[in-house]
Amino acid sequence: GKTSPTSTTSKEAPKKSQTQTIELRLAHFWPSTHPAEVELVQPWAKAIEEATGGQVKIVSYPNQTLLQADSIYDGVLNGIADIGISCFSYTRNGFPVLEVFELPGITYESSRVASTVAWEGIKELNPKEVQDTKLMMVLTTGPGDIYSKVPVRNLQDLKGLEIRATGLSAKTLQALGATPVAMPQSDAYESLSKGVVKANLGPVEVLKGWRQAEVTQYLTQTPFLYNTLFFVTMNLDKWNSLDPETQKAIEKVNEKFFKEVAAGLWDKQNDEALKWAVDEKGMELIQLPADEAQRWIDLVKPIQDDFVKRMDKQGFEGAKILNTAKTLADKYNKEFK
Amino acid sequence: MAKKYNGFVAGLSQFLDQIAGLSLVAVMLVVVGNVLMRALFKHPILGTYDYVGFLTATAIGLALAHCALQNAHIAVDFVVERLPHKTRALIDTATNSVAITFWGFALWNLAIYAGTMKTNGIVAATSQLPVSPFIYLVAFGLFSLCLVLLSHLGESLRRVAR
Amino acid sequence: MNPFGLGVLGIIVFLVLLMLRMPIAYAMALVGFTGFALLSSASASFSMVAKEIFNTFSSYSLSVIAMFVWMGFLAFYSGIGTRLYVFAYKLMGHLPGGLAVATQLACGIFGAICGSNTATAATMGAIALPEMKKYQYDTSLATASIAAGGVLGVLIPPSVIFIVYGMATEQSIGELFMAGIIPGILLMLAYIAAILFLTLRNPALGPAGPRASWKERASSLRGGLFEVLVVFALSIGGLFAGWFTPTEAGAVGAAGVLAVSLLGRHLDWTGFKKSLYDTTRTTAMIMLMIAGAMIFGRFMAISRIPFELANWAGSLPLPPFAIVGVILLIYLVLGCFIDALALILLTIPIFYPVVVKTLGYDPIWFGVIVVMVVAMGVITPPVGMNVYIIKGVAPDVPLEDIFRGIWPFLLAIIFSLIILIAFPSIATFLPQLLHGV
Ligand code: NA
Ligand code: NA
Repeated sequence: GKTSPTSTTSKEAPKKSQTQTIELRLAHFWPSTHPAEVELVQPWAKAIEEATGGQVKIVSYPNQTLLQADSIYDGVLNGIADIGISCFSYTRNGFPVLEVFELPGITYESSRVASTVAWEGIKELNPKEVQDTKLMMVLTTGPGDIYSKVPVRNLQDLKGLEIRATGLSAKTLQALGATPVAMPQSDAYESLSKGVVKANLGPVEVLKGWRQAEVTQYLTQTPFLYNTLFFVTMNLDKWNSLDPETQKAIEKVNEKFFKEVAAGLWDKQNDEALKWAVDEKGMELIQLPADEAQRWIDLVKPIQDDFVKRMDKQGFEGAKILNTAKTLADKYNKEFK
Repeated sequence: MAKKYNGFVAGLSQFLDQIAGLSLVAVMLVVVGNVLMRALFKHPILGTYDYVGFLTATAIGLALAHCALQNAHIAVDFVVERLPHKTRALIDTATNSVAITFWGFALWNLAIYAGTMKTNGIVAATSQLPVSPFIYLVAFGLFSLCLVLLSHLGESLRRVAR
Repeated sequence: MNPFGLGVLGIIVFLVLLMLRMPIAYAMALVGFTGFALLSSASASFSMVAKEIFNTFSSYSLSVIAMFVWMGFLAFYSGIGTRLYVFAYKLMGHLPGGLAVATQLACGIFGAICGSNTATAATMGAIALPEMKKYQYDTSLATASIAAGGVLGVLIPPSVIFIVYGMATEQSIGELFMAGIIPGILLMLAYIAAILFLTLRNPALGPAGPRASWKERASSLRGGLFEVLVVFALSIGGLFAGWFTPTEAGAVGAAGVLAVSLLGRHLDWTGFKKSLYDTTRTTAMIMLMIAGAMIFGRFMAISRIPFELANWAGSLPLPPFAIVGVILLIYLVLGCFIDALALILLTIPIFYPVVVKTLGYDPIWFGVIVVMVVAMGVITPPVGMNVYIIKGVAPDVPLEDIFRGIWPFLLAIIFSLIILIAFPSIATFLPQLLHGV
């Protein structure tokens, strides 16, 4: 197998190769045409190959061909894939501290802000839960909006409205008085089209990527309600097997790609999707007045309090963690304006 | 001795199959309940998605043994049927041994998987139900499948000896 | 050995194990595990096997299979299936092969509430097979026609495979659903033509009965049948009205048939228990086979066989339609060994860019073509999922009998494919109408 490259080559005719090529399998769940593959994974893999003088070669397995989306972190841990990209929240409770970056009530003006907050926050907090793999970078969808079949202008409109949501988002919507309905994203299009649910909550990208603009008419902007955190991580043994120089070269590429591509990857998509949904699909854009938005934020505050309490119970400093996220969010909302 | 073992295995797999059947009834009740609660009272059963997954896993896992007992795991038999009696018995002995070994390792690794999920406290996204008990259940289902295969192995060994 | 060679060797070993009477699910899982272990490590492979087994068994989307299968067995044990076929026999039994034709129509209509080809084959098998046997229909014809008819479940919306395709390619699921309707009907008609061709040539395959009067026909609607038709209409209506999702339709259908059976006193405790026994047995068989197929698919993925075939096809110095032809051939070959869902997941990310981005074909049209080709895969030996499922609900029919009956239906699919390639608007017409293009 891959673990004994020397023994396999020794059997063959002696090669002049001074560098041993290491092939790394990368698993993610996006389609092969998705920007995550085309604009991030492919160029990043190429940059790493170049930076390591062709020594590290990354082969991408998009679209869950190697691992199912919710098994990717675990799969990297067990060496099924060498590198994996997926959502932290697919492993519920596996990353208690990182939940802070997805909490409602913290405003992120853009994906770049949310990604930078998360990446800096993780470096600052250095939580134990991500130490079992080599975390290479994180990225986020950034803020999510409510897209719906009926206009949502205030809490009254939201009351009892069936909205597709799972996990933390379901809790958030419940706090706002809506009726969350849990179903996979793959069922959402049909369900919206037939009216089983009346709305969905998520990054605007979904409107175009999942074509949900075809089955909804209104878009309420709620930059304080939603965020999803993705990891790009590598198997620790594989990482440790690389020599320090190679590691340094890769880390340099990682930082460059985080700043230049990953952090704002969703902004570009969200902007495009928003333009498409409004200009071509005729969706109506709804912005909440400041006082209305504040009412929403107040209503979801208990979810933050609950997070702090749970953290304290598990022996973390809940308030400090929450504060880190909030302070960084304030800082970068201003900085990236 | 063999008869006693076979009787025990048959009894066990039938019992597990009954639990599997009940789980399927529960799947139906949960889904229909959710549809009705959502349509009539705007109050869906939020964890339905998780419950259905877990109940289906229970049903399938626990039905594996009974399914094998009735030889319902499809196999291609027209080649082997044409071989002499003894060869056939030898082949069955070999494939049964390989299958027991493989599923044995598989169930062991399912148990390890369940163990890590338990240590890490992994729960289902919406219902917050722990995942590990259901993985253990599936591992146990594979264990009972191995028990059935063991009785098949005994039977094919007797055919070799005959 | 390089990964590609190991992949080919894996397929050969798998075939040998099949010939040695190892259950198909075991053989797929075993070979998939071993190959994956050789290409990565034993511990990674064991971990992969554990995950695939649990993920498949606990899949919310696949739970619909169990529910529809149960619905089929409930219809059988309550005698509703029998009465359904008495009605069909009175209506069409005087034609040679009339019941097989009626079964195809039923598959098509059932396809409108069921989104899974597996579930359609299993449910229709449970209901229709015992009845066609009663009327002396040839077992090869009866079993093969239902194995093939199951595909109508994914061509006619709702459809799991279109959803997976739409997710993998970011195409509109609504448009794909619309696009499947006419090709679905076309394929159904091609199946019916195949049945008529066979039975007209050899009437013994599907003996014609006496012609019934309209009065007899109407009176055969009694005994819960009318209520079942109401349940069915409600299911379709409920899907369109947005009362429930296609994934929920299975449980709703099972509950409906159970309610009709209990209220009309068509089902006693023993029948209820038997329906559950048969359902757990059939579903356990199907799900273990899907898990095995997933494990085998992971091995195929890291052997990179599908990827290299795609690259090779895309770079051929041929005109576009010939490249599409080559790709379809590759699908046909891969479809012999890889199950439908795994095949779509594996190949779409690599073939889609070639066909749509490079060659410029319509993405919706290609979706329909892919479903058709995958439809061939589920009935071709050695891995023909639908054939195994029919074997599961009709254990006494030898596998080779079912496979022997497949070829006319295979020709019907190929014929429909050619029509679709020659006249792409058959698929694209409805979605374009929808968008007023
Ligand atoms: Na369908
Ligand atoms: Na096949």
